[in-house]
Amino acid sequence: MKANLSRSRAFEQELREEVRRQGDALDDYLSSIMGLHAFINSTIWDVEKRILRQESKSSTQRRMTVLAEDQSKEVTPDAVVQVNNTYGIVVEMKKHFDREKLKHFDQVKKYDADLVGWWTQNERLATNDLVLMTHYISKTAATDAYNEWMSNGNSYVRPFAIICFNYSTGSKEYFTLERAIGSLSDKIHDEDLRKVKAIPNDIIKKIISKYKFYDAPPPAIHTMVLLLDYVLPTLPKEAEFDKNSGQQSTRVQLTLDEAQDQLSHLCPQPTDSRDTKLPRREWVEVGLESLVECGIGEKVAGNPPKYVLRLLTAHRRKDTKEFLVERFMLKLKSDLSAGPGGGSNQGELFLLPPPTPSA
Amino acid sequence: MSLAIDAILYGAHFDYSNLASVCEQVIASGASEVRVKCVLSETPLPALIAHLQQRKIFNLQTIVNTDQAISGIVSRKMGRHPERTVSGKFYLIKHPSHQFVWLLITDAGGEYLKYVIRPFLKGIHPRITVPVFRTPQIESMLVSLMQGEAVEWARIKQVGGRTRIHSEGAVKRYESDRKWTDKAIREVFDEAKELGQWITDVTAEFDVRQGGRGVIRIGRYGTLAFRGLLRRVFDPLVNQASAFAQERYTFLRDRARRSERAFEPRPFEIDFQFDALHTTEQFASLRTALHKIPRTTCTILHGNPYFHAVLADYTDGSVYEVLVLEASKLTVIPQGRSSVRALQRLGSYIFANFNEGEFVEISSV
Repeated sequence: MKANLSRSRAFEQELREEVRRQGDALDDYLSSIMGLHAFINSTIWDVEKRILRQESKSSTQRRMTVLAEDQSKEVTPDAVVQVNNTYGIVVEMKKHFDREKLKHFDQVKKYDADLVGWWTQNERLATNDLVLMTHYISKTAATDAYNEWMSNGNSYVRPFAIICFNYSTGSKEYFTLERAIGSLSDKIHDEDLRKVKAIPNDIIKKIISKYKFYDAPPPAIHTMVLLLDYVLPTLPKEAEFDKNSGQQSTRVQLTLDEAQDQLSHLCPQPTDSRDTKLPRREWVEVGLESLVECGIGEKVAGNPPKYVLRLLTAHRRKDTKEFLVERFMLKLKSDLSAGPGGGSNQGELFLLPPPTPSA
Repeated sequence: MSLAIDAILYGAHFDYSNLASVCEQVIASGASEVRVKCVLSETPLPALIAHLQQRKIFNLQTIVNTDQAISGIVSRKMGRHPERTVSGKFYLIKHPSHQFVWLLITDAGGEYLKYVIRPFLKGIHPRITVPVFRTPQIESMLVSLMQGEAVEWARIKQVGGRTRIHSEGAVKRYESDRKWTDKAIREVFDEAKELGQWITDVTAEFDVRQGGRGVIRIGRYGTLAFRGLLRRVFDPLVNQASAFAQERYTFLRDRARRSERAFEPRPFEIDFQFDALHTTEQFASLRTALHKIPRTTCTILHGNPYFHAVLADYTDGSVYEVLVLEASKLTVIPQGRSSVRALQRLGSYIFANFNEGEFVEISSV
């Protein structure tokens, strides 16, 4: 692929649009992580003692079991919070509420059951609430959809609430949580959320600095940016950077497992066997394959196969996200101009939305 | 004359305790100026510098070489038509009470520091760091000097500064300014504050109580220069400069992500002490400043209403995040390898291309 392919005004416009779209996808994923962890912190905050409850547990990567008479089934809610040995909350995150809106409530309904997998001796809990989280912009759409779902004869056995998250602007930015409809069993927490609760910025800094994944497939661009900006630069020794003065590309070699291991530093660590190791292997594979597809490296056959990636120096790119979208689009253009079968890619891979999460 | 200076400053080993009197003798022997440059390194520099003798474009001849000090001649061939050689001598000594501070002393001119010493030291691995003295620190050094017993009066004679250009459509981000003046120290710094200017260098003339006059120049990038009488002011000034340099180095070190899984980041803040990040233009200005850092990628992960970017420094593979949640503060979150040098570089580019601020520790998040 040559970067000097003719670049029409239409292409530039298309490129800008795609950069924006990928930026939105990345932002949706990161703000969902922020929303989940902000809610977890809010839930386990002891208002009287003004500390996080020591006995509390939480996870954004937990497999729970739904006990049923005929067959037990595993589910993976987006977050599980156990406040104490008798009370917990199961959370599902849907940042946007545009398509298949009623299905989101069906998804939550799957957790309206006797769940096994809590951090108690018998892995069960006396009571748990159900929460559906969404962005503030979707507040009305979500409450309307909930009322519609209810009017269709559906209901939850357990207490249910829709919680909205938002970033409020001003001289000081605040991440806020608001209960839009329904109620929680913890009345003090519920009242705080009804009146809109601001999450301290220190908590938000902690979330941003430590968590880059939750148990939902990220857009491939997210994994690619993490690999290029967070992982690859730290692999060569410092002396290697000195050797080429940062001007030439250094080649970095890693297997899928090594890449997964490196990225796992940016995730919550599993506490027991019910917690999934994040990021999932298949997400990392999509990221690595997409980098290869963009011409940043190659996959070398072997057991296990290795990815040899070029550590692209800063003079070649500035914003990694924009750089990757541009590389992909140029590749796509090149493949399409080569005609059917002329290129390896016919518009697939990382620009496609990620696969839907398994329930 | 030059031979005398060579013998006094570069020819034999001397302790830091004798440095002031050695520099005074150098001036008395005819040197127009003695320059002292602070550099920071955790690894002893003499061994590293001696190892550099093999480099092609530089020629190094060591004269003194001990654990605590090294002196020698470094020359560099420059230009082709005609080729010329810029050459000079240096003496590098460890500060006795600030463990990471090394002082490079030379009587050679600014060209030697700029075109020979700076690129020569750049080649050292592990890399060294040069301190950045912020405007309040430069002011503090001069005020302390004035308040000391040795100095009767001091006036600013020359000041260099930079101010941000707010004009719509401007391509340049800031304008440079140099003034030849005769004002009191406070006056000059108060004016700079009012104009939103940051000082790049300042030259002050002073009278010593026992009689006699001296001139000192303080540069933003860790350089001090002395002319005339210097004995009574040399130690206090060099010590204070070294303390500032060491303080910043200690603040930034040991922030890298270690290999263990339960990683607790050690973020810090740059506090601008006013709402420097409130308007769209201010954020655009920050973005430009971050994109200006050479050999560093800056990926904006979120631009509005809060700002979140990741920067990868390709001079040593350091990675850190920049986050703005409050209009007056910028949070830096080291991720992966985060060297002092990379974090210092971030600070100096933000100070030079955006706004000056103060490094502030925050509780571990």
